[in-house]
Amino acid sequence: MDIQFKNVSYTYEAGTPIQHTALNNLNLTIKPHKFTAIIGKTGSGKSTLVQHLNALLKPTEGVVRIGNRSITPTTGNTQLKALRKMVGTVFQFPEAQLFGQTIAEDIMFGPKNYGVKPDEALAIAERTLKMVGLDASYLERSPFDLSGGQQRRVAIAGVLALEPEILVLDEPTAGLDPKGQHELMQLFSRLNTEMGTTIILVTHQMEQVAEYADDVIVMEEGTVAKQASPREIFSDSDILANNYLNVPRTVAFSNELAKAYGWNLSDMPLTTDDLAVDLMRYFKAKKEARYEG
Amino acid sequence: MKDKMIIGRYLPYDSYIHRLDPRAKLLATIFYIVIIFFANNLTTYFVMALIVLLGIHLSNIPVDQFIRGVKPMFWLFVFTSVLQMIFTPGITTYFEFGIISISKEGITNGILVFLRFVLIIFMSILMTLTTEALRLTDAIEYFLTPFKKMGLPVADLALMLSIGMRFVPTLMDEAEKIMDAQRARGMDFNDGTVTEKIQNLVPLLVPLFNRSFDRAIELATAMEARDYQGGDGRSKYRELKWSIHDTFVLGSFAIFFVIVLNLRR
Ligand SMILES: Nc1ncnc2c1ncn2[C@@H]1O[C@H](COP(=O)(O)OP(=O)(O)O)[C@@H](O)[C@H]1O
Ligand SMILES: [Mg+2]
Repeated sequence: MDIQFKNVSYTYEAGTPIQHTALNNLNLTIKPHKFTAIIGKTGSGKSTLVQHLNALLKPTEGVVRIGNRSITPTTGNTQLKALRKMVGTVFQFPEAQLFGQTIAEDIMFGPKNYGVKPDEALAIAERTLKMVGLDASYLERSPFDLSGGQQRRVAIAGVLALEPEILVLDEPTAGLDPKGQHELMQLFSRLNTEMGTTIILVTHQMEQVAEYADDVIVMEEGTVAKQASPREIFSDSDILANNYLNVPRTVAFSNELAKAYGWNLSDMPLTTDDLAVDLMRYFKAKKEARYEG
Repeated sequence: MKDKMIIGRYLPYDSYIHRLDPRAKLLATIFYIVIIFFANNLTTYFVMALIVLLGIHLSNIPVDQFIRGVKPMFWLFVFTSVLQMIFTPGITTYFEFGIISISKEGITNGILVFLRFVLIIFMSILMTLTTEALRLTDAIEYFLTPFKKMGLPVADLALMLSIGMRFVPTLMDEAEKIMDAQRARGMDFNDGTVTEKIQNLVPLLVPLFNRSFDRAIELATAMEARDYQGGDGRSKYRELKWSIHDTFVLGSFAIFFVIVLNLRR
């Protein structure tokens, strides 16, 4: 299912003195089954953009196409429920949406809204809870007794329970410890590779972009400044500087090596594994050059 | 949702009305409501409407903002007016059935009741749209000050009021975010029977209360950490300043009052 934005504009509080155009004649295409990252500085319109994907916001101008569905400024609310089943959205700090007396009740909420029978919904709850790394013993506990990180997992499970084809994640790992962040990112990556779920991730962490994304969208003042592979984005120093973006640690490290010692690695190392391989290759080439010379 | 809620919002235009002292606006609004209860025929209501329209004109705020504010309550007003219409006994009766009677007097009365609601709402919206909530609390605190001698904890009350006001927009934002998140999980808040609609509120209200309690505790901790010792004797960051325009506005309302008293039936 392709996602397409055509000349989309969105204005908050239109017609008042505090009106604010958050999306400005924006065009983009997001490919199905890919892992797409959206980056850009705070206020560049990332959250506004992703809220168009399940029509929580409707464009003030232009068209959003999700597969064969179109969302225009005049689309009626009755057509949106089916769309929201296809597009699961995890908002910033999703733990704020928990309400169930038990975790099971909370996770079953989504499927039940789509008419799934209680026993089937319970099975889904158990399965998705396991996916986020909590076992079935949690089902009967209150979500409010958990730690912040565990609450986040339960909230994410509540969205995964809809079994969406497209999963939208707005800074899902903000404020979590490194281990928790890694586990969640692994989960999203598995959903992408094993189930073919289209992942759209808003993030400020360039390491996540480098390691997981196939495609990157850089947002700047409500429009797309650039859409390209992580490798291209991280080689474009103008784009990075304009948007106050840094490069992943490994890229920064290799840039420093080049600057301080003149060691030019053959490739841009997007992950630590990449960096190790590149360094090995570099030493090997150097050694061979010495023997030949 | 926030777009629809006009009551309790502030629109930061720069206008004659915006610049008035909040005390003047509060008094004028109360005065207006008192005067409108003296109005009892079309002429006096016409005068009252003119006052509001003049105020709206001077505030630079588009009229549709006011209409949006009345909209949520529109049917309630219509309902009340219709009740007035059919239960007011009159002299010139057009139709009668049991206790129901439709008369010329009844119809006029119904229309006037409707107008009264709309005008009072317009006037209140005019005050809140042009005055920041915190300034309004300052005004209320000012008027309560005489009761300090009677042991009323005015400073604390004012603090509670201003904290309350301060968190109204925050709560609205929060409510909106939670509703979005539940909608994203397939919830339809407008769906179903009345009982279902009430049940639908659980996924909104539970997280909202939960967050509010957290927030209250955080705020109390933050205030204690800064050694807050109660509001008595604290000076103000923004002083209220009464100007000649404020006197002028209140004076005009006194004149409106006299006009209405003369034109009423
Ligand atoms: N509910 C809202 N009302 C008014 N303006 C908003 C609202 N939400 C966001 N904005 C404004 O829209 C712009 C884009 O915001 P957002 O999409 O949240 O950016 P990001 O997620 O990239 O930080 C910001 O300037 C923000 O102030
Ligand atoms: Mg955001």
